[in-house]
Amino acid sequence: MTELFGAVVRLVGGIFEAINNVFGAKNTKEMKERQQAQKEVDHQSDIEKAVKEKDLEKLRKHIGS
Amino acid sequence: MKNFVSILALNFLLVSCATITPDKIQDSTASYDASTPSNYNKDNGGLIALLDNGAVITSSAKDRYNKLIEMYKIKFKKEKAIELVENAGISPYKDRYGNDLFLIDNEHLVYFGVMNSWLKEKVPADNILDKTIDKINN
Repeated sequence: MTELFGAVVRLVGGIFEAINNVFGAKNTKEMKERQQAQKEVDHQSDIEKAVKEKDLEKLRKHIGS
Repeated sequence: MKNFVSILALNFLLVSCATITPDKIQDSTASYDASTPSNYNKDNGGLIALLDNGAVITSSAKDRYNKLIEMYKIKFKKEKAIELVENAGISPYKDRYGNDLFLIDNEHLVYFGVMNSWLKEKVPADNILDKTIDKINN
């Protein structure tokens, strides 16, 4: 009975550790910085695309205050 | 046991929901620009027209561009390896109505948009320390 209880506790501990490894990692400082950098790259690409396509209205939104 | 499984599932759900992903930068509409000559619609965000070699902007837009360079000069240099100076990429432009406007080249128009997004996202401007380090390095 004690062994069974110990196994269940280890199993639960393992599950939580796995959850933390998968989801916790997304909130690390590096991960957030990478997401922010990616967002800025996407934004710049969007502006460049608008310039290339001469999309005046879109550029007005990007440039406006 | 049923309760235990429910709590475990709830825990899993809460941990999953805790993941925060930043929103995409969204610009809503073109803003009002009071310095726009009367020949044009003033809801233009400071951008009058697009030409092959750049964009025609108002004096307010030019001032905002220079202000952004003042705020983010060092951050921009660090991230894009490009040093911006006041009026970079800007030249005077007279339109067909005789209004004094400005022409910004396509490259610097993109930089304007990038720095403007930083401002909208409330990215902190260069601080004294950044400026001092930059001065020492140059």
